[in-house]
Order: sequence, then C-alpha cells, then structure tokens
Amino acid sequence: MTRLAMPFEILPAAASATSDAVDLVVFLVFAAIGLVSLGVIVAMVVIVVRNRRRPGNLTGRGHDPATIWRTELGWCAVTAVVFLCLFTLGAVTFDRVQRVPTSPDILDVAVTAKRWMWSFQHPNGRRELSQLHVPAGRVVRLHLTSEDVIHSFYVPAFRLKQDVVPGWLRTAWFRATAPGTYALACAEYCGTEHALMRADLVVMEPHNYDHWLAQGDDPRPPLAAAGRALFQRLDCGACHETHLRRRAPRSRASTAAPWPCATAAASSPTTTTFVAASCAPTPTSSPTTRAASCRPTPASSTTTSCSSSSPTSVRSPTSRG
Amino acid sequence: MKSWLTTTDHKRIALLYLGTMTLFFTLGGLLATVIRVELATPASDLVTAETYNRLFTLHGVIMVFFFLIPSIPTFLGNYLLPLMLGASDLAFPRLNLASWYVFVAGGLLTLTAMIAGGLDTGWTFYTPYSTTFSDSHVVLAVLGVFLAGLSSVFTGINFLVTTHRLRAPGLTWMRLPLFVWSLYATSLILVLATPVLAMTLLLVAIERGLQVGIFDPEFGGSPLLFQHFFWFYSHPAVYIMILPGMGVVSELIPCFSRNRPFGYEFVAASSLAIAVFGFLVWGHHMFVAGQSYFASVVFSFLSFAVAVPSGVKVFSWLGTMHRGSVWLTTPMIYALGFVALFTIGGGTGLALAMLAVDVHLHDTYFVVAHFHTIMVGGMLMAYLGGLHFWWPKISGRMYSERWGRIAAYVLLIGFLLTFLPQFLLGTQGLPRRTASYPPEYQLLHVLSSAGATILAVGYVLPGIYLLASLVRGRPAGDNPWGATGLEWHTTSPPPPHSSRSLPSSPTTPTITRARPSPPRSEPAMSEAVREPFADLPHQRDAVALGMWAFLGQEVLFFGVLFLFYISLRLRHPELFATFAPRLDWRLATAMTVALLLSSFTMALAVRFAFTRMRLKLLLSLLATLALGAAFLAMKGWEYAHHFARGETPFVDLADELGPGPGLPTFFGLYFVLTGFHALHVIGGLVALACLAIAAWRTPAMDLRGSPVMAVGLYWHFVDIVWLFLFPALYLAARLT
Repeated sequence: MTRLAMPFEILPAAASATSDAVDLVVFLVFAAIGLVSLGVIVAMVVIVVRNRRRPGNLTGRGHDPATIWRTELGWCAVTAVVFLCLFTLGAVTFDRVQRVPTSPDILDVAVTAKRWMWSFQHPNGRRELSQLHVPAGRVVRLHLTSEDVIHSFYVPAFRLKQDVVPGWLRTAWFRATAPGTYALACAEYCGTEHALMRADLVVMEPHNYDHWLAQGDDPRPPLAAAGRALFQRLDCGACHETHLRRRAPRSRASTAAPWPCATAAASSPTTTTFVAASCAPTPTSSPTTRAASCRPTPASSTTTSCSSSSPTSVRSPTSRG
Repeated sequence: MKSWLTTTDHKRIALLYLGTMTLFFTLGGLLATVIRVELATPASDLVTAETYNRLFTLHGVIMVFFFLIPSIPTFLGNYLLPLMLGASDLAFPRLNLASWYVFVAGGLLTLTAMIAGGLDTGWTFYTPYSTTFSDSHVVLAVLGVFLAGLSSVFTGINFLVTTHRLRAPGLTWMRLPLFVWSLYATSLILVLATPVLAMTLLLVAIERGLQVGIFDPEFGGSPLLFQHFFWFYSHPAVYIMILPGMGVVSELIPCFSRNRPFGYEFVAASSLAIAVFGFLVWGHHMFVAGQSYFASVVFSFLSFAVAVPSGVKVFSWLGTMHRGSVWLTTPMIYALGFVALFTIGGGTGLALAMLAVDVHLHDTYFVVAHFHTIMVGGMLMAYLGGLHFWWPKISGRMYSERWGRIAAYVLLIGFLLTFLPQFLLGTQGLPRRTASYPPEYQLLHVLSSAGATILAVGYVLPGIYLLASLVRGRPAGDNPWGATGLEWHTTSPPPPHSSRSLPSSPTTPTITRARPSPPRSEPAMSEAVREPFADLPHQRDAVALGMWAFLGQEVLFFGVLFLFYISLRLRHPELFATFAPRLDWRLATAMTVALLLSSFTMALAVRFAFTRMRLKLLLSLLATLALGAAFLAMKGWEYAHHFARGETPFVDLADELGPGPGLPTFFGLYFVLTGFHALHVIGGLVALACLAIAAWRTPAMDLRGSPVMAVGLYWHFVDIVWLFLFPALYLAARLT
C-alpha cells in the first residue's frame, strides 16, 4: 500500500532551510497553471457544446471589431499581470535560495565530480567518496568543481541543484534541518554510468558530526567500492568489460609509467588512496590543478602526492574517433 | 521515379518530404519504444546503460532535427504556401528540390553514425563531453545535423521570398491566411537561428579533430559558450516546431467553427512576437549552469513575456469557437486536443521559467514531460490535424471519419497516460536520461510505459486508414469541408501549377497571370523569366531578396566565430599579447588591399552587366577573379609559413607544452576564423568563374543583372567579413 500511495506526493519531503520557501512557490505556480489550464479546457468544452453544429446553428455569427479589440487587449493585460507576479515571486525566492547566508560557523566542503562519482573533502582534510556527512542546522557551503565533463549536484530533498562545470569553481549552499539520509544525484547527463552517479547525503546531529570528523579517514569506501571506482575512472572497462566500447587509455603512457593507483597505493595505503589516484594531474588537465589549488581546504599534501604520480590521462587526445 | 526525383513542383517535393519524414518518425518512434520498455524496470536489464544512452540520443536527434523541425513547414508549408498565395510555385523551385536532397543527405549521415555504432551525447551535444570524452560517432552525426540545418535555411529563404514577392495581386498582408503568417514567422527563425547551430556544431566537429580550445576548458575553451550558442538556436527551434502547428490550428478552428478568426491582427502579430521573443530567452536553459543572477532574472522575465502572445493565441481560438458553429470532425478533435495540451505544456513551461522552481525541476523528468507535451501533445497533434484536414485536397480521397475520430481519442488518452506520470517523476526529483533508477519510481514509469503502448497504437492507426483511403476512399471533391481558403478553389488533388487555372471569385483575390512562356534550356547568363515569376523586374527583385536573406544567415554564421573570438580574448588576453605579434600584418594589409580592389571591380561588373557591355563585364569579372585568387595565394603562403614554424593547432599538448591554453589555442582560433573566411572566398571564386564562362559564351543581348548582382552582394559580404578579421587578428597586438 505504501508504494501505491507514494506517487501522489508531489514533492519529496522537505529537509533544508530553503525548501519550504521553494515549495510554497512551486505550489503557487502549479495552482496557477492548474487553474489556467482547467479554465481553458472547461471553457473550451462549454463553448464547443453550446455552439455545436446543429439545425439553427449552421453558420458562425462573428464578433464586432470593438469587442474583439477590447477582449484581446484585456486578456493581454491580465496575462501580463499574472505572469509578472509569478516572475517576481520566482526571482525573489531564487535570490534567497542562491545567496549564501552570513553565518559564523559556515562549514566549507570541497566537492569534486568526476565520471561517475562524487568525492568530498572536509575542512580538516577528511575525505569521503560517494557519501557526504554533514551536521544538521549548520550552513554548509559547497565548492564544486569537475574533473572531466559537466555534472550537476542535485539533492531533491533540499531543492538544490548546481551544475558543476570543469575549469570553473561553483558555489552552492544548504542548511539541513533534520538528520537522515538523503539522495544526491547527478542531474546533468555525463556519459555511460550517469544514472549510477548517486551518493548518500548523511545529515547528522552536530555532535555526532564532530565526532565523525575527528575519526579521520575511515576505511570507507569499502575496498570493493574503491576498486570499482578505480576501475571506472581508469577506463579499464574499455578492454575488460565486454559490453563497453570506449577509448582505452593511451598504451604508451600506461607502459612507460606505472599506474597511478599503484603509486598512490604504495605511497599512502589508507588515507589518500582514492584522492591521490583520482586527481593525478596530467600535463593535459589544467582544470584539475586549478581546482586543486583553489580548494579552500588544506589540499597541499594531496597536490604534492599527485604531482609525483604518473602522467596518465583518462582521455587520450590523440585517438579521437 | 525519375520524374519524382527531378521534380521542381512544390507539391511533389512536399510529398517527398512527407515520405522521408514518416520514415524518420517511425525510426524515432521505434527507438522510443525500446526506451519505454527498458524503463519499465528499475535496473538497466533490457539494454545496457551504454546502449540506452545511444537510444535516447538518437531518438532526440532524429525526432528534433529530422521530424519536428521540418515536419509542418516542409510538408504542409511546401504544399500549401504557393496555393494559399495564388503562386504557381515557390520562388526558387530548384532550391526547394536541393533542400530536400540536402535533408536526405543529412539524414543518411546521421543514420550512418547510428549504424556505425551510435551517438551518446544526447541531442544537446553538451561540451566538453561531445568534444573530448564521448567516443561515439559525434562528427558524423554533427555533420548530418548540419546538413539538415542547411536544408532548413534553404526552405526558410524560399518561404520568405515567396511570401514577400509572389502574393497574388490583391492579396495584401492583412488578408494572408494565418497559416502563412505563422510560416513567415517560422522562416524568419529558420534563417536567423539555424546558422548559429550550424557553426556551433562545425566547431564541435573541429574541436574533436584539433585541440583548438573552443569549448573544452582544458585548452582554454568555455563549455558555457557552447550552451549559449546551442540554446540561442535551440530555444527558437522550439518555436520553429510549434509556430507552424499554431498556424495549422488557426486554420482548422475558424473552418470548423464557421467563423472568422477572432482577432486576426492579434493572432498574426503574436506569431511575429513569439518569433522575436524566442530569440531572447535562451538563457532559461542555464539557470543552474552558473550564469549571473542578473542574466537569470532577465531571461526569466523575457520567458514570461512569451506567455502573453501565446495567451493571445489560445484565447483567440476560444473566441473563434464562441458564437460559432462547431463541427467536431477528425481535424477539429486534433485542434481541440492541441489547444488543451498546448495550454498545459505552456503552463508547465512557465513553472520552468520561474527561477526558484527551475532549480528543483531543471534536468528532471518534469522537463521531459513538459517539452513532450508541447512537441508530441502540441506540435504532433497539429501536424496530424493538418494532415487530416488537407488529406482530401492532397489525395483527392476521404478517409474513414469514424476511424479518424477513434485514432484521435486514442492518441489523446495515450498521450496523457504517457506523460502525466513523468511530470510527477520530475517533481519527485528523478533526473532525466538515466538508464536505471531507484525502485521507488517504478510505478510511475510503468504507468508511463503503458501509456506509450496506447500512444503507439494511436500512431499506427492513421497510417493504416489513410493509406486505405487511397484505394477505397470516396472521392473528396474540391472542397469537402466547406472551407474558404484559396487552396480549396482548385481541384483535389491540384494539377501541376494549379493556381494558373484558379477561378477568380469575389471573396478571394483575383489571380491574373499574363506572362510570356519562357524558352527552355537557356544558358545560365541569359535572363529568361523562370517558372513562378510574372516578369523580369519581379524575378530580379526576388533573387536580390533571396540573397539578402542568405547574407542575413551568413552574418549569424560568422557572428558565432566572432563571439568565440571575444570570449577567448576576454578570458585569455595573454594569448593575444603573446601570439598575435607572430601574425604578419604587412602581408595581411596586402590581402586587405586585394579584397578591397576586388570589391571595386565587382561593383563595376554589376554595372556592366546591367548596361549589357559584354567585354567590359568579362574583363571586370576576370579582374575580380584575379584579385580573389591573389588573396588566396597570399593566404596560402601565410598558412605554409605558420605550418613551417609549427604554429598550428595540431600540436599534441601533452607532449610539447605545459597545461592550459597556449599556442595551439591561439592558432586554432586563427585557422578557424581565417579558414572559414577563405572557404567563403573560394565559394565566391567558383561563382565568379561560372559567371565569367557564361559571359564568354552568351550573346550580349541576353546579359542582364540578377545572377551577377547576387554574386556581387555575396562578394561584398565576404570582403566585409575580412575587414573585421583583419584588425581582430592581425592588429590585435597593436591595439591592446
């Protein structure tokens, strides 16, 4: 029964400081659309039925020009006013949703999107993959960048969406109201596994979060998940998965130098396994380095470890089809 | 068979388009079927994610570029525009045939891409995915779409010139059928927006081949620049699809209400208003892409402004039925379905234009449902309505009215069941373009797939009974609906060049057509009057207008290149400071002088053509040719020089240089800008050579203006482009 009842919730349960304001606007505009559409359809049905073709009504009776001009100008004015109100409402709320509030304890989190996963870094350097832990009630300011194509950071429960554009740093914010686990999805089509580019957004009580943060990098992601991530990122599937046909990494690069995963795993077995491998800056990937250098968090150690790894690129610019 | 493939009769070309587009529609529909079956379960089990991405991309590309955009203009427009204007054909019948061939060529390229392994970028070709990361057949598909766009431009120019220059005497602008008004507005968009997409897609193809740094940030490009270019075309493209549909409905409703169109002037003006506003709202696709708050607010406001002319249309249709005598025939049911679904589709569009709301709904199934309501619910309903309305005129037969109504209702129900659940999927936050999805969305997806089954039945039905009517239908007679349009005053189907035999009636404009019968197989230069025109000044005027329209689209075509230049220059001024001095401004000054002189000799040639001085015409044409060739020679020498110094966009950055934009980016810009200009120069030289050969062969008596004049206009335009390129590139270092 619960699954039958589900579709009639129009919006997912609201869970951020701004989602109620957005929901109000959504319901207002849906009400306006519903009223207008219903009005037009009902009026149409009534008009068609009352003026249907029948003996005694075989030709139209027309309207006089004055009436036509009056009515036309009339409904131009009415539509303009109604839509101006909707526009203003949308713009004002948008301003409120977009503008990062001034708050003494803003939590800055760096978000890196890459095909097809999300990685996060907390102020103290703690990193996580495909999971983001944040405290409830605190303003979280996200600094988003992408390592490859355009992605979009989308948390339906927070009514929050922000495109993540490679080569640029984007900012977004939210303040979660209730602890719980929410879905984070990529909303911009980004290639083969776009549908699977999801993550869990875990909202914790503030003290739980502090405790969690102090733990340092835990073995998460589990080894299998990390392996899968690496497998995807290095495009191993190009050769080792039968149903995929992608451009393989350049063979010259992969034979001339050791794999970045090997280097990274050897140098830092637990803490930086994922990040070191993922951000291996190549001579061709300036956004990566740009993004790394403008991260608000202490990422210097990462960049050093990255720059020592091998110059393998996910892309192979020489072999384009 | 051969007579069909070489026909210049607008009615036959329209039917060629109908056949081709029906094939594409069927293909797109089959792709959609597989998509809906796949989405019935949460996992991607029927096809892999990789296949799924190719399916929805091809579905989009085929449906948008090879069905929705050309559908009503090239089929109904081609067929009806000359009939409605009282002309015997479109202004340029051979161009019309050429546009069909170009369209077919584009379709074949896209199909080749599909067979060779598909395309997985989405129909939006977003960069840098399409330029760098996708390993599907982007270049082939992009060229296919480019050709389809070229075909659109040809059609648009033809319609514009026809509407301006071939209206029957007495048929003033304010007496034009509303369908013609909507076609006119559509043609404006076709001519002025399509070149932007064409150039943008060419740039995508170029960037895939070279490392130019147009859209890929890795080499100094901007992915958002692509989105601006793309939506600058693709939002107006929505109006290319829907405006002709509105025009069809504006014909159907007055006919079946037995009433004059309510507020004719307002409805006609709203078509133009929608066309104009359509150019100013592209940014509402980028609210969450990171454009400035100010830009978002402006685009949101302008998007709301489109609602006013759209509202005028909807309310005027209601007004037409009010005090009318509404006859619920098959076409009328489609028209009413259009009004209802267009209202819903347009309304949900307003939700997406609202800034705060769009943040949540952008790129979700809500968007998918919204544009399918406009496209499938609106445009396709109007297309089928128009098809059923004019079918008796085109085929001369009546179809089964009962089956027609059944199919219309089946389509309406199927449509609602398919797409209403998708609105809910969107508000609940399911992103679009996903092969798999969390199981909680399954119920709505299953409903949608079930609806799609009904929808498919609704599409197959008309195919069956319309074809059956060709064999078994009773003869329709000239005017089965009692309609008042000019096209109903001829026989069904109309004979070739029907309008010459049109009777003149007191209610419709009189068609008088006294003109000499043109001699066939004349040499290119002699200026005989060609098919649709009454006399020579008339034709000359139309050719000039056509060339101006073509140059209008060329301005937009080069406009993209200059915006790319500006974008790069603003973001990377250091590139210009470093590399612009390497360009040889002295040589470029010589090139400028050569082109300016050639413009002068071209002007002389036009003058001599009109005064029929054959020898002087020939000499000035040869002088223009020589100067143009000199320009190209210098350009070639310059290119060779840069290649010799390694100043090319071909350098593999990974091997030669550090990260970021650098020498290849700047010289990529240089080669792209001057290369497209050089191609235009070459095109001009070919045209000049043809003129010169014709002038050599033709007796002086037949030498008159229009081809020389048209080529002259084009040549001056090419020179003007160079006058912008010269300071922008060669003097850049000295002007900063």
